[in-house]
Amino acid sequence: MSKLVSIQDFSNEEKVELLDGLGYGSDGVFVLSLDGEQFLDKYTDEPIRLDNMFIYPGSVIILDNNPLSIDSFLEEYGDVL
Amino acid sequence: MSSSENPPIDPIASAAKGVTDSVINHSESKIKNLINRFLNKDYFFAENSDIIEVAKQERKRTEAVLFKQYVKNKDFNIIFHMGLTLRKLEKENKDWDSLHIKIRNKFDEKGLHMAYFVQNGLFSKYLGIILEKGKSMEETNREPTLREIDTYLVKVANVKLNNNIKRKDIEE
Repeated sequence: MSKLVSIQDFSNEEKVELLDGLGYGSDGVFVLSLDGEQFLDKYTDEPIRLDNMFIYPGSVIILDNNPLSIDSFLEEYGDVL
Repeated sequence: MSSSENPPIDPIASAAKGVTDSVINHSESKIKNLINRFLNKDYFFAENSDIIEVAKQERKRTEAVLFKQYVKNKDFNIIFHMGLTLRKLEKENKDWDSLHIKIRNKFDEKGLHMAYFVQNGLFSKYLGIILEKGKSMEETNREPTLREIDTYLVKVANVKLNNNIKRKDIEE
């Protein structure tokens, strides 16, 4: 089981570097996909803020870190957290 | 090249640059290391671990476990968990407007009513009434029960007044 690393204290630059390393980007506020479009949370269809990300390995799942998205993730993938 | 052609060395600036470079390099190596560990599935990242912990706890509540035994619809299970989460946020006097909006955007008004139904504790009472009727578990189909909440009795409005959360039952 993967271990949680809190990115709460990461600077914006570090978060952008993290996203860049995973093939994503940011305009400084929101997460961007490879084509430069705002990347949307798959459960809420809302843009994901740089300061509220949840990132899970495997096929790299990036979500907005809110109760609805996290519970939907757990409902789909099981108790993997 | 003679030494006189070299620019004078500012020891303070030089030391400061060294520190800055060191911080940047440390940060870069930290992120690269994290990415490698992430790609190896050792780590996942989250801004706020509290939200994950609350989600895990609510899913383990007796109500949620019992509900899931009889309801296989994933959306209904998520709505149920959101109702429990709304209840927790309300009890702790935390803001739940944002979650309220997300539930409505995702599941429409009816989904929000279902979540209120759970939040207010009415679902457990309603389930108790159904169970008292003596039907077998096979006969008692929970999913239509939850779907028909609007038809049966959920006319619950949550009204915020003077920053105090108050509930008001509304009859149409």
